[in-house]
Amino acid sequence: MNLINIFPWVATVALATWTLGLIAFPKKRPVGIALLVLGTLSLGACLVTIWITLERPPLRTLGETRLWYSFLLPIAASIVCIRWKMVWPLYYAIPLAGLFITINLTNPESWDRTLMPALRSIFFVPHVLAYLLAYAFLSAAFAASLRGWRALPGSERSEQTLEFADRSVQIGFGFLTLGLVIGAIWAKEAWGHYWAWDPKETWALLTWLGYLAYLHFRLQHPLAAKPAFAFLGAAWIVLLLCWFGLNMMPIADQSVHTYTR
Amino acid sequence: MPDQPPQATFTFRSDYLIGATICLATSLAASTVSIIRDGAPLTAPPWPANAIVLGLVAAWLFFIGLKGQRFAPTRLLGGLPFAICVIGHFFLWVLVAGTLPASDGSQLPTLVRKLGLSSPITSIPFNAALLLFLLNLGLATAGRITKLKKARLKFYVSHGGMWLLIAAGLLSSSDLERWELIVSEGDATAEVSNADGTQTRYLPFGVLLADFDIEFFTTQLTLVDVDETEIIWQKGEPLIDLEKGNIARIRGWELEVLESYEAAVPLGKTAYQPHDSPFAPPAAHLRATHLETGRTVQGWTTCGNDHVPTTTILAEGSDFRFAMALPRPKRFSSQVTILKKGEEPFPVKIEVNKPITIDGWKLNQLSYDETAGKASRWTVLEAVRDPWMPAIYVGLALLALGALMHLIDRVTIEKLTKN
Repeated sequence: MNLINIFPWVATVALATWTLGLIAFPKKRPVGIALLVLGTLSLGACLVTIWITLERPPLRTLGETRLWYSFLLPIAASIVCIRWKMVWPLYYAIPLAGLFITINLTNPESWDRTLMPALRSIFFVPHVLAYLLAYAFLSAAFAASLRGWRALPGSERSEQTLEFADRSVQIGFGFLTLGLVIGAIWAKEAWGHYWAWDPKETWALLTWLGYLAYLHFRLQHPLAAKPAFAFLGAAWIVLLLCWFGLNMMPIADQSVHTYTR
Repeated sequence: MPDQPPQATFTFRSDYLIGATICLATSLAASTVSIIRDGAPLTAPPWPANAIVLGLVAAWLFFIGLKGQRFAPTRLLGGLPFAICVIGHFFLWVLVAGTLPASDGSQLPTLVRKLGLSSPITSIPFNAALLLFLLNLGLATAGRITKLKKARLKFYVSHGGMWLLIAAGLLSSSDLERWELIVSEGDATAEVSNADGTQTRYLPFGVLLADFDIEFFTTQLTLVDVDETEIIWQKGEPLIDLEKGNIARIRGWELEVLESYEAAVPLGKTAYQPHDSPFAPPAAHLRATHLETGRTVQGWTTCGNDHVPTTTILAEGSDFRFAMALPRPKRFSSQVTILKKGEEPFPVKIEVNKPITIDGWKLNQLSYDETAGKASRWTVLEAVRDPWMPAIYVGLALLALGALMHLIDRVTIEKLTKN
């Protein structure tokens, strides 16, 4: 049996354990944590299996990046939760990760072994992983904005949520910058120039500028919670357009980054 | 409860208003100039003028940072509200560039062409937006130099690095040279041309192509319609390697690869035999059994090339044929000998992602004769000379270091400082 075919089973296990984990968490915390960890680890093991089976990093197609995202999002949320002792982000991050797994289940991959020569570089894995980590943290910030939007301005809930969102954006923006820098160095090594105004590059720059504007806005308006949450929603839409939406735009066929076969 | 005291709100609003007005006026002025110039590309001054400009601007910013902070316009142009305005302003121009198809401009509306937006980096309004961004970034960085603090180190590193990166990137564009070098096996040349072949020059050394080598992935199965006009394999269906002994299922058929050759030529009308010619395409012998009816079909398939026709196998009773997909390159490289006056020729290998540097020129593996595939007898290299690369790499390194410092800072900080 081709081990790669276990993906639908692993995805189902992850979805089930995450759901049960979130239900168990408030009353039986150790059981909840164990189930959440089990679901995340099963996805990690699945990624390793796919990597070994394909003999290449599974970071090439949109489906593969979604799978990594589903694996990294609970980890990113957990880091922030453990570090700053918050529980609620898990209730936003894990359903979001589950949504992305469900998208993968309904859009099965062909698991292509091939990897074009340009992607055979030491920069490939760090470049894509930096972006996916950034997307995970920035999505956690978006999840926070959904919670904060419903909170009363000036309330403790609103302030706490905003603080979580800020920290997530600052961490995510750091990874976004690293992804941008690694991509520029890779492009210079492989194609002779740092920046080619490829549509994907342009939208990556737009995403970076969107969060750069958010960070400056927060410095200038530390108490303006509602506009900050709205800003986060808009920035996340730009991020999604860069990640998925670009493939549906007329300019997609001019990009070397449209992860289609 | 108001977010800020009324006086502060008023100051912020006036700062935003002035910032937005400066951005709008800059865009209008730059667009007018671009339209008058009929969209002519903006070019940076060549060396050493660009280095002098960079030095003068950096010195001016440093001077302003030391002496100019007491002036309201300097504080405004280096302030946060103006930063938000210029980021938003630049965002809008990038958005325009990011939604337009990149082309020579001929297919774009006249206004877009006259604004030079088919090539953002040489567009006047785009560069004007970038200059405002740089102005704010430079003034913000220089303004804090007067009060050096250890706690601001990550600010200096990230903002200074960004400034150096953009400024050097903009000013170095006229010194950057990118040329294509096309050479056939056994031939040597020092002549290179630009991408559209309208300009040529000679490198200070010659390149002799000793051997071009290409390696392909195992060929895969695809499905085509009965008339062989289009591929009907769809994403999500299995990708079956045409490797001898491989057994797989697709669309209700079980497929077994009975034989597979990397290079083969027809043997009569119904068979293929292996051949060592580079012009021989891959071929595979398949047996397919319908899982419900038990019907079996057997035959050879090849993706073909200019010398051998494509062959497919009809899946009887179904609306498709089994076919071989075009082989996909795994890696390709050029074994070349560098010829320099007064020096012994020396061999080097140039591969994608593994360029070599000779006399300040970087040689990248770019392409090959894709229609000939493994029979390609010539290679396309790119010769790049970028004297500003160290400055840009320092900018990139500082930016990355700043990002790492911010990351570590965010993870270790206990409480977010609100002020």
